[in-house]
Amino acid sequence: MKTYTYNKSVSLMERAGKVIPSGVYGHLGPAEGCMIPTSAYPFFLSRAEGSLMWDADGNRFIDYMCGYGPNITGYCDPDVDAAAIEQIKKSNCTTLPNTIMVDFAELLTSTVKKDWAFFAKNGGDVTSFAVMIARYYTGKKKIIFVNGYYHGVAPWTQKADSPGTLQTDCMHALYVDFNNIEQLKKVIEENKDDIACFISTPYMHGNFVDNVLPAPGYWQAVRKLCTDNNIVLICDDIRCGFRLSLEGSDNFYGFEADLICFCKALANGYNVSALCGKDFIKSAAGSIMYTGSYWMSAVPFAAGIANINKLKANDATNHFRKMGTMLTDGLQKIAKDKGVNLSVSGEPAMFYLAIKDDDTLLLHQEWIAECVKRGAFLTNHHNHFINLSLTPELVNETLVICDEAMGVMVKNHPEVYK
Amino acid sequence: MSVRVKAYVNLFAAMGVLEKFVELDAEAKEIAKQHNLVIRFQVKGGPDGQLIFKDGTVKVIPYNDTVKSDIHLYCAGPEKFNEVVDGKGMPIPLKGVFKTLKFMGSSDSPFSVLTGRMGDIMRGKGVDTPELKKLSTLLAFYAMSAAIAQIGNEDEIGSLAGKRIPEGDISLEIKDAAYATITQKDGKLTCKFEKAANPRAIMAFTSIEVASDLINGRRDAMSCLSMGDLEMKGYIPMLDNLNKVLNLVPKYLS
Repeated sequence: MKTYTYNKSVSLMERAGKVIPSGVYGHLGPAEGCMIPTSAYPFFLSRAEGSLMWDADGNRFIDYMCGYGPNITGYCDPDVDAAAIEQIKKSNCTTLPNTIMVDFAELLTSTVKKDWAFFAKNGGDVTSFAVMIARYYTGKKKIIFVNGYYHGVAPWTQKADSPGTLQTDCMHALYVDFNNIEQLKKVIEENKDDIACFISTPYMHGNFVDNVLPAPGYWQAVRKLCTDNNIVLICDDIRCGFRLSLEGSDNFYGFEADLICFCKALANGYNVSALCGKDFIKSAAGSIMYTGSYWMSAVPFAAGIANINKLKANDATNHFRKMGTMLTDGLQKIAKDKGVNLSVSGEPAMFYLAIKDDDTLLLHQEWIAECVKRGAFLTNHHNHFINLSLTPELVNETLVICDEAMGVMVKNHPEVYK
Repeated sequence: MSVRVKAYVNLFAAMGVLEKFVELDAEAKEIAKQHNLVIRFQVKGGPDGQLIFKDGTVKVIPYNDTVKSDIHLYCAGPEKFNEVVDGKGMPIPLKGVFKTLKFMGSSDSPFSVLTGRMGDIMRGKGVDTPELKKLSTLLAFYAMSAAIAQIGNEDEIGSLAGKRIPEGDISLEIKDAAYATITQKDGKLTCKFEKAANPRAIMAFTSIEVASDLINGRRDAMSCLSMGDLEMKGYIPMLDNLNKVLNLVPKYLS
């Protein structure tokens, strides 16, 4: 199988580096994106369609990162794009919100079984707002985080040693392990009357570690502890939202969050995020001045409506589960045949991969690099994403690539694979 | 910046680089060869360490009572010690007064010449040949590596990241030119100026020039990484946290 080269990407990165900090910053960049080694990865793409993307050099990839989540119906989905184009002819960012905002709020709240929706742009906008609401509503300060969390990049989400963060930004943070109810009870007891909220993703999909699903009864116990102690339960569904269930991941795991945050998959890449909540906390949300220039733009609302309707019409979450299972079952068979200990964790729609034959992650990084160079865009230490346009044919093509790539990695390490 | 942490960095990173200086610089080696001595620097409320000059080599270690000191120097606090390192003060000799005077009592005594020359090279003073430029970068690389361990252990913010570095060895490299190993064990960081046998994570500069640019603040790590001039691989959580300590190094090593 031919492996890719990235001359144009490298050249573009040289240009980018002169005018953009780090060339490509954040999670799409080589550093945060763990592109290891960088020579195995493209940096820029020229176009994308469905589950495919073509980089600046014209290399074709089957993409399992989906823009780190937003691509849920398929890149350039004709139905979602048509709705957006239709809306842009009418209005977008205007002095008064377009009527479509109400339509979108009604559709979203009825879909995720919440009483109200507040729109912004990015996930961090709504996690931050959720915490503000919880603090205002309860009159309390502290936030309980689950170790390994990611709730955005605002200072309150960081550790005190993160560049640009003050120790005082983190002074009200408490930490517990996922699935550890006894620890949560202890933290609540030790900080009684001062905890505003518990914020967590529906399952632990942290980076660098096998992802962990909620133990039976875990979420129900969390719910009860929050209710008993006047703690607002915030579900950060930014990554999982609409991939496990269209009704929100709290409903998927059988509990009810007070506030739930959506973003990535809400409008198939059109920029909108949403905080949805229960009625009792709605007036608190309305009392806080929180806004942004583009938060009520109409085009993403139109895209969101088309997106949710298409996901509903196509039984999307069942498709994600089926395709994810087909791919990961295939990968595990390949690994087993080659004597490689490949761990697959998390939900099939958002599977996490890790080769466990060393404690350095180097073998895994080598395998993923070989996959990418052959056209399967996987990532090293982040969960992956399935989208509605992924077909069994593309999954099979991916398995052929991953098989050859794993063969190369195994051959390069006779000291491990005898 | 903490004066106390600065004292640790001065003793174990700035002076610690003497180990490589006498190895890489013939003039320095010649000076070191003439003295077999153990000097203890004891700083009240700060570091306590020994410089071991032996047969042209130098080692800087935390104070070990089984290693007999020929000279015992005392500083009343980290600030005083930092003044000594800056050439603006003298420590109190508790043992070996005459040896102290002979070895470091004036600007032309061996220790002063050695550290003065090393400091000049590291700061780029009189560095006008390719060889000296290379030496300057290598010394800065070793000082940076040693400083990471000190800051990751002693600095209030740095130690938060230092403690979160998972256990194991991190290899810091300038490819084919210089190696240092940072080890995290039991929550403490140590640094050795040698190549790690089995590192869990690797941070490698592809050339001396890249290392020089990064150490001197002309480029940042993320842009070096984007351009393929800096490689990071292996157990990335080790490097994520190490980078947070690395961000603090310029505050202490200026």
